[in-house]
This record gives sequence, C-alpha cells and structure tokens, in this order.
Amino acid sequence: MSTLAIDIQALRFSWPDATQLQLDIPAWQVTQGQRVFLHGPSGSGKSTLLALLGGVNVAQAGRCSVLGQDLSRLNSATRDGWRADHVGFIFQQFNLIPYLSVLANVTLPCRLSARRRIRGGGDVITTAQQLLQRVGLSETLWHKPAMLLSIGQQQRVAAARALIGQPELVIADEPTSALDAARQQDFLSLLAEVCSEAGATLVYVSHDARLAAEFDTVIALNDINKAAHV
Amino acid sequence: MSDWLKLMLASARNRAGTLLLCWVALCLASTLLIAVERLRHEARDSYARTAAGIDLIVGARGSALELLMAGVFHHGNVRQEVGRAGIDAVRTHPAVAWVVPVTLGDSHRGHAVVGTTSDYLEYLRGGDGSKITFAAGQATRERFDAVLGADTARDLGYKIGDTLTLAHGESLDNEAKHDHDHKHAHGAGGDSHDHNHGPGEAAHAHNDFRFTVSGILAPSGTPADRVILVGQEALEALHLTWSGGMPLPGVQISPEQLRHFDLQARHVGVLLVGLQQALQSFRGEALQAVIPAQALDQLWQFLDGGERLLGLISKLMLALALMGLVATLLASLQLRRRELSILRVLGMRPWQLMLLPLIEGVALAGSAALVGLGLSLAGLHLLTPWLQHEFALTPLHLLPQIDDFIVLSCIVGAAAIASLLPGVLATRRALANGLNPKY
Repeated sequence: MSTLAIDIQALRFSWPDATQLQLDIPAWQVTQGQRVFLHGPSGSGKSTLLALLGGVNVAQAGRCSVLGQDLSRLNSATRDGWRADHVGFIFQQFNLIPYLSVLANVTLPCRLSARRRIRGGGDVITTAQQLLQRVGLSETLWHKPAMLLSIGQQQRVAAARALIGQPELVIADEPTSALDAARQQDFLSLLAEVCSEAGATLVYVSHDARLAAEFDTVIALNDINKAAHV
Repeated sequence: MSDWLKLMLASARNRAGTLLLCWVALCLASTLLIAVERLRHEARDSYARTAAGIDLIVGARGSALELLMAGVFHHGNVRQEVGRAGIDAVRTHPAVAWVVPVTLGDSHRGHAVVGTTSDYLEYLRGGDGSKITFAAGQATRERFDAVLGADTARDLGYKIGDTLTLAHGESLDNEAKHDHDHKHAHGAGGDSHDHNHGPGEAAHAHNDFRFTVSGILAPSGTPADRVILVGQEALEALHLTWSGGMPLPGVQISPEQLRHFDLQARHVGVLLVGLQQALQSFRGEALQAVIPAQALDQLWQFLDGGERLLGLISKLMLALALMGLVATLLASLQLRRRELSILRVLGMRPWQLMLLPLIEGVALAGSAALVGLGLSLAGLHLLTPWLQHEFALTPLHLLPQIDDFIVLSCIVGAAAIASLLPGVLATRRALANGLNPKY
C-alpha cells in the first residue's frame, strides 16, 4: 500500500481577488491509508488546501494529484462528479441539511454518486444505519430532523455521512472545534478508527496541535507552504 | 430523480411560510393579468358581435363614431338626421336587403328611447348570434305601445300593461324617480301603473301621449337590453307639436286627431342597413355610410390609450409579484446558503444547484398562473350579468382560450427568468465560499 493518495508538485494558488499567493507548495505527498494531521494558524491556507484537494477550486499552477487523478486537468463538472465519488467531508460545523432527517443526511452522498451507492453495498439505508450505530448515535435520533441534534451528535452524523459508500479520502476541517475538550478527543479517536477500518486516507486539519496524538503523520502547513504570510 | 423531488419538497416545506405568501401574491397578480387581457378581448369580441349583422350604418354626414355609437349602441345622438328622400333612397336601393331605422333623442328615466320598426327585432341579433326574443308580452301593436329591454324592465320594475310618458332629451332621470315612487305608493284600484313626469318637467316632457308596455325582451347581451323600443310613427306623433326642439305653445293634438296626419317618419337618426351586395354609389342627399367594423376600429384607436394603461397596470402588478418571487427566492437563498454549500461540496453540479430554485420558481408561478386562470374565468362567469348590464358586454368564452395560455406561459417564462437569478447567485456564492459552508 504505497500508492500515493495525494501528490502535490509546485502548486501555486491565490484567490481571485487576492494580491499575493495563498499557497505555494513545492512538494507534498501522502500515502494511501495514512492518517495525516495538518495544523497551522488561522488564515494559513488550511481550508484553501482542502478546497484544492476536494477539487472545489483549482490551482493556477503546478500539479495537484489526488487518488492518482490530476485535478487541474478535469473540468469543473467532472471534478464535482469525482468529488462526489471519492471524497467524504466533515466540517467544523453546519455539516447537515437542517430540515432533513439524520438518515436522509447520511444517505445524501449515495444519492449524488452512483459509485458510492454501489460501494455502500446493498441497501443504502441499512448501510447508513450500521454507520450511525458505529459512530454511536442513538437509534431514537435517526428519524429526527438534523437541526434537533446537539453539535456533538451532528458531528457524529457528519462522520457517518463522510464514510458512507467508502470514499478513499476523508477530509476533516476542524470538526472538533465546536466540541468541548473531552468530546474532542472522543470524536477524534472515533474518526481515526472508522477511517482505518474503511481503509480511507484521512486528512485532518486543525489549528490545535495538541490533538495530533492519534495520527500517523503530523505536518505544519507552514513547513510545506512557502507562500509568505503575515 | 424522485430523491431530488423529495429533497426539493423537504426544502420547500422548510420555507413554507415565505413561499406561501409569495405564491398568493403570484396568484392574485396572474388572476388580474389574465382577467384584464380576457376583458380586453371579450370587449372587442362582444362589441364586434353586436355590430356583426349590420353591413352599413347610414346617417347624415358627421362623425362615423357618432353614427356607430347612436346606431348600434344607442348611446348619445346624431347631430343631423336623415330626411325622407335619403331614407327612401336607401330603402329602395337594389343593393339593400333590409333597413332598420334608429331614431334617438327621447328618454324615460335615464333609458334611451329608440324609435324604430318591427324590423329591429327581425334583423338585429343578440350577443350570441341568435334572434332577440321576448321574455313577456309581444311586439308593439298599437301606435303607442312600447317594448322594454330586459335591463330597462328590471331597473324600472315595469310590467306588461304599465304606462309611461317620454321626456325630451336624456336628463330628466332624477326628478322622474320621485314621481314614480310617489305614484306607486298610491296605485290603488287600477291594475296598471302610470309612469309619467311631474309638472316641473312639463316644458320638456311629452305628457300628451302615454305609452303602454306591450312586451319585455329577454336579456340578449346587446344594447337593446337597456333601451325602450317604440314605433317611429309614435315618435313622429310626439313631435308634431314641436318645432326646433321645443313644444309649440298652445298647440295640442289629441290621439283622435292623429289620423289626420301623415305619421310616416320624415326624419330618422340612423339607418342600419343589411346589404344584398356591394352598395353602388348614390348621388342625392349628402349621406355617409359607415362600415361598423371600421368604425369599431376607430373606436378602439380612440380607447387605445386607456386600454393600454389598464394592460400596463396589470403587467406592473405581475412584475411586482415576480419581483416578490425573486425577493423570496433570494431571501430563501440566504436561508439555503448552508444547504446549497453542503450539496455543492457533496458533489452536486452547479447546473443542478441552479435547477433547484428554477424548478421551485416555475412550479410556484405555474400553479399560481393556473389558479389565476381558474379564478379569472370563474370571476368572468360570475360577473357576466353585471358586465352585460354595465357595459353591454357579453363574454362568450368561459373556457380557457389559446390567448390565456399565451399569457400563462408568459407568466411562467418570466418566473423562470426571475428564478434563474437566485440560481446563478447560488452557484457563484457556493463556489466563492470554497469548501466551508458559512452560516
């Protein structure tokens, strides 16, 4: 298992209205199945890097190959499809569509991607229920609208949604920052575990380096990013 | 695809309140727009139908519009009448199939009196193309018989056998009413009521001759509904003692003396003519023939400004409602920002993202337009009696017409364009947001 999940070469990116480069990464690789902890202060370009890895935005120069696919060579619609097929996301907050039920939220990626529907195996609802059980979300909550759940519960649902249909890459953008310290560690361990079970590469981003204990690789963004930051 | 439908429905249900308000506004606006367009068409149709059976309107030289209004709609009067020579020339012309004379100038309590012949009911047609029939009684048989239009009879509350006197001109309405009520209250004994004018109006009233109601017409959707038909000889008799629009002082003629006079009409206001073939050129009295369709065109040109204003107002209403729709969709976009970001990150394509508000807007506007169509047709149906009475307008098409669907698709098209805007913004914003759903 030494294929590269992420292979970045001479990548440069700046937001359309910005005057200076946001990212300037000469090289960065992540092996498939690895759990990577990426940390850096706010505004250092963490979320930007994730947007590039997910194919939401494209670098102006260089190579950004994810799961063997050079994303800058794909057009926008193909990238959207690719993202739906291969990447699971967990955000800091507001992961879920508030008026949909927990189950409907979890199965959403399978509705957007045939690949994930097939890889989810058999019945999408059953898979979703197994995942919800795995992340420890009480069965009484499964049919409730997502907005009725606590933040901690919502993040568990988000984890289940990110993992449904076995995406090869899971991207987590400070998913624990809204949780209290005890729950932060719980959630992190859970996420690391389920990603290992699924064989998914996990890129976990946080400004808080103390959470890094569970991870195979710990990287400071400023070490790989040469763009000047104030 | 049913997944998407479910998602859209769930999303819409989440914003049910604002969407409902917007939908109601759209319903009202499309009702108004369809109704106004409808009325414009129906008015044209109905008036065109009223004039349909008449090939020519012949009168003394003057305004074509005046001839049309007086002759066909019995509204106003002509400034000059046609003399005997002219009448005979038209009547005996080989091209003429029939002639219906129409003489105006007298009234009874606000209803115009039309001096004509039995040919009026023979040749003029109702709004739906059928002959005008009697609801009660019969055509005039005695010289001083009168036939009332349906609305006239209803407004005045007259029955067969009631009597009435005429007033010269059109302006004696209000004073006459008092008199009428008074008479009614004291109508003891006799089974018929007198409807004449008080002494105050004697100078302009034709009190020397009394008309008896011989028949009441069924509603026909034509100007006949609102008038009183009398024989032209009767009008001639009324005016024997008149000269220059005023009664000759001290001259009185009793009904018995009338047989000494030639009561054949010496003047007629307007001649409605049915042609056998194209009327050849006629050289004699200076006459003017008006082709009704042409005069109607003139009328529409004359009314065009007001009509267009009405159309403009209803279109503005619709524009406002559509702006309301855009505002609602934009506001909901604010609410949906998170939702759309999430969907975008989960791999939904930008065009799919644009489709969500588009489908929502089109569904809202489409259903609102259908409801509007239903409401305006129902309204037209309910208001038919009123329209007939107030505007002599008989709407014929109580089912949806092609024109309605054109208006309808305009509404939906405008709504589609309007809801593309939030869609474009949604896509842009979702992209500019990058990965992070903002709150």
